[in-house]
Amino acid sequence: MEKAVYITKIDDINEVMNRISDFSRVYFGNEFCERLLPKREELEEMLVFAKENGMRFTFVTPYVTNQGLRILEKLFEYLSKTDESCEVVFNDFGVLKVLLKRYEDDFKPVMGRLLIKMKRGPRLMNLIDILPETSVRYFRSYSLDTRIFRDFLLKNKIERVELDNLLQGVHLNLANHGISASLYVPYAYITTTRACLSINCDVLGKEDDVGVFPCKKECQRYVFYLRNRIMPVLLIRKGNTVFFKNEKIPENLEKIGVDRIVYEPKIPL
Amino acid sequence: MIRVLAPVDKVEEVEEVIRSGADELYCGVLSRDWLLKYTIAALNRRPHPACNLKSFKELKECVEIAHSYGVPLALTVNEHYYINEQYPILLDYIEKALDAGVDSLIVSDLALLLTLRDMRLGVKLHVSTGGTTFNSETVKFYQELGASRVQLDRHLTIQEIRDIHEEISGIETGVFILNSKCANIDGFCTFLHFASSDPAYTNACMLPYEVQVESFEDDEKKVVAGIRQQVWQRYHIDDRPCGVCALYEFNEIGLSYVKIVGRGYPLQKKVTDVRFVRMMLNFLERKPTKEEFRKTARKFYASTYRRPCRITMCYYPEVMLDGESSLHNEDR
Repeated sequence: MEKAVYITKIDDINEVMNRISDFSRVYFGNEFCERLLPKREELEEMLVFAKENGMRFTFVTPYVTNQGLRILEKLFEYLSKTDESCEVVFNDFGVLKVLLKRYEDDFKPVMGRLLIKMKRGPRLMNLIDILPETSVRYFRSYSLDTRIFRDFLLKNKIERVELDNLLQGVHLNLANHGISASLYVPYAYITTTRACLSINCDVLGKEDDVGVFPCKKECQRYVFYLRNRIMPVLLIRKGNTVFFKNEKIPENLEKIGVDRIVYEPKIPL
Repeated sequence: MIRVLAPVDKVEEVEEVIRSGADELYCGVLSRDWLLKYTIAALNRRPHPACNLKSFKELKECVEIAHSYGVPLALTVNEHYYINEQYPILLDYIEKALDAGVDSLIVSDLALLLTLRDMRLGVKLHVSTGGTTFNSETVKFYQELGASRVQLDRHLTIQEIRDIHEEISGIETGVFILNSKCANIDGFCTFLHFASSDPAYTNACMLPYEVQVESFEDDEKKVVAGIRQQVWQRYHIDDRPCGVCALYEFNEIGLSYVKIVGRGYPLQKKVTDVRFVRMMLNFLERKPTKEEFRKTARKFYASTYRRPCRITMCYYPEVMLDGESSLHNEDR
């Protein structure tokens, strides 16, 4: 089992320095907000770090507007001249299109967890024991179990998909179909928004003004823990995204096709 | 001119919604087979009977009435994903819809889009907001897979929509204009929502949460930040959200259509919504200035829905602020 560590900010390297030898791969970047894409210098620094520590490199990218896409393309251009075998996790089919069109020989595309749209809402666990088996099968599976989807991935040289560690479990069987999977632990995302509730969150009088507004990266200064008696787990909102924590590693990893654990030392935002 | 896409849930609604100004219609059809087998794992995002026609016979009647007015009708098959074992029922459902004469299918799931493309059914394929389209390359991605129309995501600014449109051709795009201003990105939201008044099943984004704030900021800022996190407890995401002010720009941009959300709403609400949007599109034909258009839209919004414009319920809230250019981060 390959072990990777997921870093969204250079400073977070310190969180794992004392056990860096546990990991053979580093994930770097952001899945949820184009405003948190690393600068070229940061990408360069992380590539040096990976090389010095003998780690393979995976660049993680978010869903993007045209403006974000232009920033990403500059980073891809730099990366394509630097790391020949790097993976790029895409969470946007437009980003995939750019990867296939311009960087087919440079990067290995990996389908990100936002594009695996399995239900994560924790209230499912309040119902799971009373649902019919057909519904339970649905919630534990994904359209990756269709041949047409898998063929699409393989035709486009996408041989890996990224999975969250769902409370209800994951019952996919990718191993027999030439597709590998990574499992993210311990933070699973539930939902994300561009009407970010961190923007201007500490400005009195702006409490109800939500929208796609400029920000001061307030998400890097606040974390919110949300409790409600019918929500079976604690919800964690950081910036524009809500997560839950699930540290229990499932037993069926091999059957799913999981051959990599992506460890998140901090909330990945 | 921009077309108005509006919902219907009953045969008797079709004529009235069209006469109110809808150019195109969309609807769902209840599948009892599906409901019995998969219960809360829905077929078309809105499984409640009130959000669906009762049968394909009703669908055929709707199509015939709509076509008699020259109005096309789309069917929602827009669940974010379907698994392999569901395909026999799903394809049977689609075959019945085609027999009923629907003009297009609204889909989200990539696997279903690929399946329908390969089947060459002769029906138009529209990608729903579940397709999470934020940029022009995603539009082209779906275009290459056979989509004739893509619904852009709710969470885009007017300028971002303009940027997308400048980079594409040969495909229709549209945006939301009224109702259901989801707090989160529809296609990336994995919360479970059910049509129920029971708080255990209502929208998770609007539940009353006890908020604990972790920050190194001072206590006063933490209190304000905590209050902000409860914004969707104070506002219902369906409290008449509106983006009609932005029709001015959408007309300049050349968007194909605007969508009114509303499967399951009473007929009177559907009619009111369509009339409001149609009236403002008619006003646009008189070439008002942007300021005149905004002023009129706000006046009619207030008189139609009996509430003032609120930034929280504004689909494109930049129109309520000074200067749209101020909305974009300039730190790069």
